[in-house]
Amino acid sequence: MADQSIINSRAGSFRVKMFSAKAPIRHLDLTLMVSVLLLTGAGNMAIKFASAPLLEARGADPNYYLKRQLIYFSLASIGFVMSLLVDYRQIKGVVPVIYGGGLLFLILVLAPVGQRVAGAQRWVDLGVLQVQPSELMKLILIAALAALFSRRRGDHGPLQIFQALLMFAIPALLVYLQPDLGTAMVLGAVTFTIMLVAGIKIRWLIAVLAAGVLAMMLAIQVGVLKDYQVARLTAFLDSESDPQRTGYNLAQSKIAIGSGGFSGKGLMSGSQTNLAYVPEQHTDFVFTAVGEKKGFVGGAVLLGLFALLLWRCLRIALLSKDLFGTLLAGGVAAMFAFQVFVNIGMTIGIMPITGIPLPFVSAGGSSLITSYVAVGLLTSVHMRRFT
Amino acid sequence: MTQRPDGIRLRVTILGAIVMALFSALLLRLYSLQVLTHERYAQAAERNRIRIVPVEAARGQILDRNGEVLIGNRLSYVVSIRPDELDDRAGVISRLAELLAVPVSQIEERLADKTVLPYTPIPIFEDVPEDTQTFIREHQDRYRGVVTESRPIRTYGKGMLAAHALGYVGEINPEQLVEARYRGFRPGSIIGRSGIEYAYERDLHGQDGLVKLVVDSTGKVRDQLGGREPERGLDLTTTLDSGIQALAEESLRLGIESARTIFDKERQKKYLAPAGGVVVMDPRNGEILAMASYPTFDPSAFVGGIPKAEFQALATDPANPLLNRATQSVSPPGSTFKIVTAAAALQDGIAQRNGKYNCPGSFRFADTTFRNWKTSDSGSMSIPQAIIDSCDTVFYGWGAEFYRKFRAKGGERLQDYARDFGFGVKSGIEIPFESAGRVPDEGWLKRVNLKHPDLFPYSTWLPGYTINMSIGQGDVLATPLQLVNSYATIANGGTLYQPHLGLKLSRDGAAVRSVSAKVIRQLTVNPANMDTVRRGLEGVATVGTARGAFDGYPFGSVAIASKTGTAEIKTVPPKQPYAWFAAYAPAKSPQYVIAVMLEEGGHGGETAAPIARRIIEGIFGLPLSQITPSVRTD
Repeated sequence: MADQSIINSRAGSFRVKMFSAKAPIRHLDLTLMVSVLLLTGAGNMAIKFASAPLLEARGADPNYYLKRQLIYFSLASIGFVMSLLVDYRQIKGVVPVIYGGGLLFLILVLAPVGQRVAGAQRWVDLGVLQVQPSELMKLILIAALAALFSRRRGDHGPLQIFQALLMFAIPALLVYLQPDLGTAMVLGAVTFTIMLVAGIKIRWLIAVLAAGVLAMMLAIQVGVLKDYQVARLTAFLDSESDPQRTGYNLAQSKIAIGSGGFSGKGLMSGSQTNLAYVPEQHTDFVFTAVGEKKGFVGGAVLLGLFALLLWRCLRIALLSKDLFGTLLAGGVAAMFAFQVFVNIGMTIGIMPITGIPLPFVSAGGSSLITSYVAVGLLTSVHMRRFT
Repeated sequence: MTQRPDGIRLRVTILGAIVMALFSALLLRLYSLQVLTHERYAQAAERNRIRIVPVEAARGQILDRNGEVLIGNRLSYVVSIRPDELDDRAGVISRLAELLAVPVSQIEERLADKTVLPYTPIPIFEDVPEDTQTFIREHQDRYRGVVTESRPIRTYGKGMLAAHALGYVGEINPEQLVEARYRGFRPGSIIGRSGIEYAYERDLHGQDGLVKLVVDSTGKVRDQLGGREPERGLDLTTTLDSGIQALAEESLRLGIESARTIFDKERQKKYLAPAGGVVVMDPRNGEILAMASYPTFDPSAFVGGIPKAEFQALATDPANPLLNRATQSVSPPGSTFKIVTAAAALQDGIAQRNGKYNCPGSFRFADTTFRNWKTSDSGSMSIPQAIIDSCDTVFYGWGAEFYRKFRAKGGERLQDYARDFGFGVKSGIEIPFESAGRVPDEGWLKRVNLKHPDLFPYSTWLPGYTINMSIGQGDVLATPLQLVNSYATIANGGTLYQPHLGLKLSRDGAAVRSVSAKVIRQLTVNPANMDTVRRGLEGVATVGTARGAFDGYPFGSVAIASKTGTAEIKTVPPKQPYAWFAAYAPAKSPQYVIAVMLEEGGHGGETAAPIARRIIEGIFGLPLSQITPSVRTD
């Protein structure tokens, strides 16, 4: 953790002001916390019922992934509490340090210490915990960009836009090299959203957007994007043309969700999930288990919980005492919204298949901890809006 | 809020609107997938999950008339590979090749077979020993992707017995799959390819069962959802008598071996006698008791798929072992045909029952000389005596009369009688690929003249054609089956039956359907005329052309009626004569009719008659005679 003295000093004043009307502890966003806990609970159910049949068939503990996720949840809770204890305004000062640290971490992944999982190097093994630095980098970039755009009032000119794009491009490139195109795209969405909220002129925003699209086209043209990435990105346009190869995951995912019908087949039922026709069904494709077992109703409820979460994020953006807090909240909202849209979108064939987890729901420690730390930061903004 | 620039509320609201738009898109899409097009995806999920695997039904057994099993079934273990589960392809294949003692290339070849249904294992090796299949099952870690299954296969308890009549089985081929005959069959089905196996396919085949398996995405079976038990095919009891069949096959083989020792002075070489056929029938109902063909083949070689090279060898063998000589080999019937000429001449008033006919050394008609097989003049003789001596010149005279009748617009009477006796048309026996033989007439001559003017330069029916036909020579062609059927008609007093091999179909011993005797026609030849012909046949073995072959035969125990025949084959270069012999016994109450034919086997009395004699002796429990070349007669 960044600086132990900061926490200690804040904790001291915290205790003193605990009972005043403006004391931060009295302004926890309970709705936000409830929505996040409900999402986590739904996620745990989905993970259990998506993974248990296959684990059972292999003679393993059917609750293996659920138990692991509960351990991650306890770690995430600690992360949440610690980040809400930090006064978010203190982060501004340490941005260069954490940004640099994040980049270093990303470079470390590409170095031989990184672990290869499914052909990509995304992990750093810290002994007790395997950490995915690209997950943390999302938060670090949000904080760095929020700091950048809150430093000065009023208009932000081309220089700052360029600076922001550079701050985005370096980690994005490192993440892309893992390769993790999905997270690189999340970084892009976050960057764009913070620029939008920060008040960048519309014409600049359009220019940035156009440049982004152009860069993507160019990347495909000159072959920076590997063939399989292009294939995965375009498979959703015509998934049934080649169901055995690139489109296979998508076809199976759509069959799972479509066959779930209005009210679902039930938690224990659902052959697509139970017989493992959908790949990555407890991680990136966890929504297929929700769709098959709980149907349209289950999917809509889950989307409703995410909508609740995002409403609270945007509300915090508006309530924040300062621009930094607003931008932090806006960035986190963008991160969640983009991930939800791309993740669920890919399972139902309206977005390309990229390895983006569904926040709070997909199995995986780094994603869960990052999401909870993000919510902790939002809470920190919310509870300190009067101090 | 002082630090925030103006319009921040608007910007956040825009962000909120974007989020709402994205979420609405997700919700709409979910609604479309899960509610509007739900049915389509539900079906796709079901198709994914359920794998239907056919379970082959065992074919029905084939029994002889006494209930002895000729063809049965046993379980055979087949080693197959599921290509999608071959994790360690090279390793598993090399281990498997070693275990089965086959080259790796053979396994790769089978794996490349594109005719196998998707998701079904590809058979690699049929009929492995049980301990091999146990070994594979117990060492699945080293043979992942290799599965063993049991399937019923044909067993031939009596070896090669009656191979031609019973037929062989093989896997259905893609061309057959689209034929109406095989509607409902699946790739990989085992079908009868010849003989009874082919003829009774629908009854013998049975109904394949199926199991519905629940499989996961890796193809691993998770559950079984019932299905349908396979239903074994019906058992077929045939008319064959395995004792007589074995006797006929052995006698035919011995007779052919004996014929090959005879020196053919005319052509200055021994008789080739490459092939021959024997049919034994019950003249009272058309039941085939034995059907032998030489050379023969081993039907068990076809079980589990005959290797291409082996099949090629069988199919291109000049001796053509797959050809059923009894139903497919045609040649002029020679003097055995004289029963038709005699019966026709009597019935049409050309010959009189008590008439006497001259038997000179030769017969002249319109500047052409037709010779008797004996050069000396035998004087005047009765009709039975003309049959006993097989006097050609007597029959030439009747043939000439038939020709005159034809010229006088009296019709082609000899041909009409020949067809009445079953010549020139398929007998209608159940087994496939039967030859129709030929009864030549003017219409036929005009057709072949038009088609092959080089081979048949005349389109006009000449007197010599009818005269030659009267002694079974020229263009008349018959199969041993047709000959046996014509003699059965003489033996039973004029009823032409449809010969048949099937007797009854049953399931678990309970009769389902029986095949009854079918009468093709009742001949118009009156009993007195028939009797005249029979009297001739009864003397052939005692004092006639077959007396040498029946030297020492106990006529007092079982009297026989018979006729020899020797067919001249006028091909270029000329072949050695085909030997024929037809007989029925006991002469006064016939129960058995026999026809014997040897391709390029010499003279009927010389080589064919001893074969029939031995068969008759065997049937009636008489001491079996040695087959030795006999006196050369017609």
